[in-house]
Amino acid sequence: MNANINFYIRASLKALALFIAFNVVLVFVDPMPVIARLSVYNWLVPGRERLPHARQPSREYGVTTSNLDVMFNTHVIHGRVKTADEYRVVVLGDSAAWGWKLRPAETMVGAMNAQNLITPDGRKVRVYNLGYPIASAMRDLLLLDYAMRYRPDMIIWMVTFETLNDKTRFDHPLVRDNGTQVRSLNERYSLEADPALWELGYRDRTLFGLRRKIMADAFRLQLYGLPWAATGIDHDYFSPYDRVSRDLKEGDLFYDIPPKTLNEDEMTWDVVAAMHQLAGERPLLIVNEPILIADGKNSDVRYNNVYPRWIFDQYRALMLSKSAQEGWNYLDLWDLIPPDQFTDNEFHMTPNANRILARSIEAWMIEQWAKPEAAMKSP
Amino acid sequence: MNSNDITHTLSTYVTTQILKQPKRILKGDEPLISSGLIDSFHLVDLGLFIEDKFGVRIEDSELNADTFDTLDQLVVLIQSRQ
Amino acid sequence: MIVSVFAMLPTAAPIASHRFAALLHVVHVAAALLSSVRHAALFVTSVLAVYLLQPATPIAHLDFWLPSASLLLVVVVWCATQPLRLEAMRETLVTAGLIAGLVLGIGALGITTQLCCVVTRMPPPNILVVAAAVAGGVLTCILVVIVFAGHPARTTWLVFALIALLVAVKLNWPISGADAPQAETASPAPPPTFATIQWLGFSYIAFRLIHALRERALGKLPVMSLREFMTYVVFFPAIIAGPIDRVERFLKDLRAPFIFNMSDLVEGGRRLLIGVFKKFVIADALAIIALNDALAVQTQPGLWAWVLLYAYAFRIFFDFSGYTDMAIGLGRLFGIKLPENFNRPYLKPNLTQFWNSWHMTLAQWFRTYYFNPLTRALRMRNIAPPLIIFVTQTTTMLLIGLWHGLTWNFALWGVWHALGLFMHSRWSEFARARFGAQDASKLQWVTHLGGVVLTFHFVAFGWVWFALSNVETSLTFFRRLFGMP
Repeated sequence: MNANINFYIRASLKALALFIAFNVVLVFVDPMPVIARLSVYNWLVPGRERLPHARQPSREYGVTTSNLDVMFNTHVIHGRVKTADEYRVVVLGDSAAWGWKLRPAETMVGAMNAQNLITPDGRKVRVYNLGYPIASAMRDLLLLDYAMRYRPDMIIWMVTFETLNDKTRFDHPLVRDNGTQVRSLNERYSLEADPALWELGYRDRTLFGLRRKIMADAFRLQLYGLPWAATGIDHDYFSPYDRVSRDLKEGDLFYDIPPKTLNEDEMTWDVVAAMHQLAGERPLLIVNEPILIADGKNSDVRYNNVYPRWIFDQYRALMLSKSAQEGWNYLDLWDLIPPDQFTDNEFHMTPNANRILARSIEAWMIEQWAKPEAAMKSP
Repeated sequence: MNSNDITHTLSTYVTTQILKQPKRILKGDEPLISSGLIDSFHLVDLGLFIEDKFGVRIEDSELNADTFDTLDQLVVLIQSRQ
Repeated sequence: MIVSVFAMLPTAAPIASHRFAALLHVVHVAAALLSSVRHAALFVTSVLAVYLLQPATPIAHLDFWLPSASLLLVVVVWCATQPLRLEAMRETLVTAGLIAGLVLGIGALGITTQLCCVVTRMPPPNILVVAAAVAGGVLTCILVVIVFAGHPARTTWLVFALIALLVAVKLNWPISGADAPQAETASPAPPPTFATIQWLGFSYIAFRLIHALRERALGKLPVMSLREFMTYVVFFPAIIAGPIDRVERFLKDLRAPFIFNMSDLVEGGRRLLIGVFKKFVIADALAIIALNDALAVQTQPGLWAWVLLYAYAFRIFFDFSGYTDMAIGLGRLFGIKLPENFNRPYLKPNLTQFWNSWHMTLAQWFRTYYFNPLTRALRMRNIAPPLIIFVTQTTTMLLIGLWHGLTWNFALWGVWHALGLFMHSRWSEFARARFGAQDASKLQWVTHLGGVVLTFHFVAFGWVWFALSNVETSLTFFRRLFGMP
């Protein structure tokens, strides 16, 4: 019996020593790039059509995590080796591009893939959805920076005023939780930096802090891969919801801001410039995404409950002049979709509206390919 | 009745009446219940047989492998109550 | 440990015999003291656990009244089954006073806003109402003593009353005046019914009480104190998910002198850790991919459906046996050796052996108080054995199914297993007569392995009834398993 007890005491001490050593290592080495590779996606289960995001994991068979390695490793783009006959398009944007309340096939990206477009030089167009809920330019820069390793041939960036409003520059969980990458972007592209930009402290890097949550989420995301594979469900698009109201609230405030002149310096032009630098020679198209243009009460002052007319009109004017000045590819599709085609908010659209939107963007792509100066480079 | 007689009586009963394999020889330490050889229905039958033959009652709560699982254990149980 | 101390003493040093006797006395007194401290601790912790572990209920105050009702039932059954012992009156009154004091104390917590939800999930009812209820409980107990003293046969009334109560709380009666749970989604949750109220541990408590009542009717129930009986019925490690111990066995451990014992500590701790790992790591991870109502209809036909089913089969095993390991480990830490509930059920070559190794204490309970007496009674009549087997086995399994809940699906799960057991008993009869004893057969391991695979799948298909809430969903899922949309 004594030998037995000694065995347990020694085993416990060894386990404790290993645990402490492991935590010390974690302080100095980020294991996530390695752990993220242990992904069940793209071999055991199909890759996801869009980045993982779930408010109710047990219903949506996914987990929201801010670790980019983990996120991208679940995505179908990670599992598909780019072949010579693929023309790779990535779409960045907010929840409208991600496809809130839509099946993956019903999103704009789904509608574009269903067209099976072929480029003039015979490459098959394959579009990848890299949208992610909540508009944020900095977040899109972060995602594009990561996605460049998948060698896109074209980048489509769905934006709205909220995306490019400087006020929300650091207002996204992905931006806040990826301080190291954001700092690197700030340095590379001389962006406006946030002094309070958050980096993991010593405690958070051990299993006693945030890293435990990141690892646990990564693990749960692997498990949810099985129900995802079994059902094809990655989002709650089946519960009924309230339609967005076409009668608007009183007043002309944008949040709490009364009408005023919108200045150039209130926009994140530096991030837009960085996006172009990242894209390099690849075509980058900025799309001013459709918004609900309501026709009910108070619609003479506001377009919808988010945007009063004064701010959105000034934003559109600014975008037009700036893109002409900088030579950006810019499509203003703000009024493309009739009000009855919006679903649960002023940006989310029906499958039908997404098809209409896809056709407009495809038209631009085809036009682009036809231009002599856009002679296409082989991958 | 000595333990050999009890063993023989029980063994004959189990092989002929329960297992229906008269030629089979049961070892004294062969598990009968935990192995599934005797199911719960035949266990009640065995209990009734013991009550009838040896005048020893085995309670409903005792018809399980915890109380006895082999012929040897059963013989000890019967003798302790005779 | 204590034995080894005594064994060492004579050789360790020549100690005068009176010193040895004195030391022995000290050890005995210490052990007795430790034992009574342990018993008191187990008793108080267990009574509190009845309240602490009770989940919130859709009806206000029910999370206080249900645990209180559990305690009252225990006291009532004790009064109905124990002989009047004047010499033990003082101890009984102290215990009864302690129980009443705890109930009143928990009720009194409602007076303060800071402490009101320390024990119960929601604020307890008005203290005056609680006091009145305690007084009512005392009167009930006095009445029970008067009615039942010297009439062991009358305990049958209480058995039927408990069964009626079990049926009543498991029925799907709608509750009027209950707050509908806040729907997370637009699809409204079904209105609360009696069956959705969780009365913590009641299924287990009722079965321990019926066990005591039946043993009393048979004249086999040991004499014990109220404190001992209460500790047995609501023993905190075993209140959530069993096992269902037998009171005689439990008392043996409870009354044995409790000595701080290293091997109990190590073994109990090890078992507890295994249980925690099985439940909170393996089972909770498997829960994400295990079959449920939503997945059953959402899944695409074919391979993935099988993955969901296998995940469920292992999830329920690791969940339930993990709980049991925790209960056994915790019990062991306090010197109580609770009975085993699982014995590698998925490695058994036939269904009869599966049921000898799955939820063993529940199966044994049903054998003792239903299957065996019924089989005995039918055997006395001239009825063909296969018919007896069919009737007793089917009704037993049906009851085991319904014990989990009064739904068609639990009934079908029971019948599914009854048919399997019946087929197996017919098959073994047939096979034995046909093939005889082939113990040394070279192919034995092949048939054994085949039996294990077949039995596991029979059980797994059974889980389709068990895991899902209605027949239609189950049938849909069976179609999915076999590749049909």
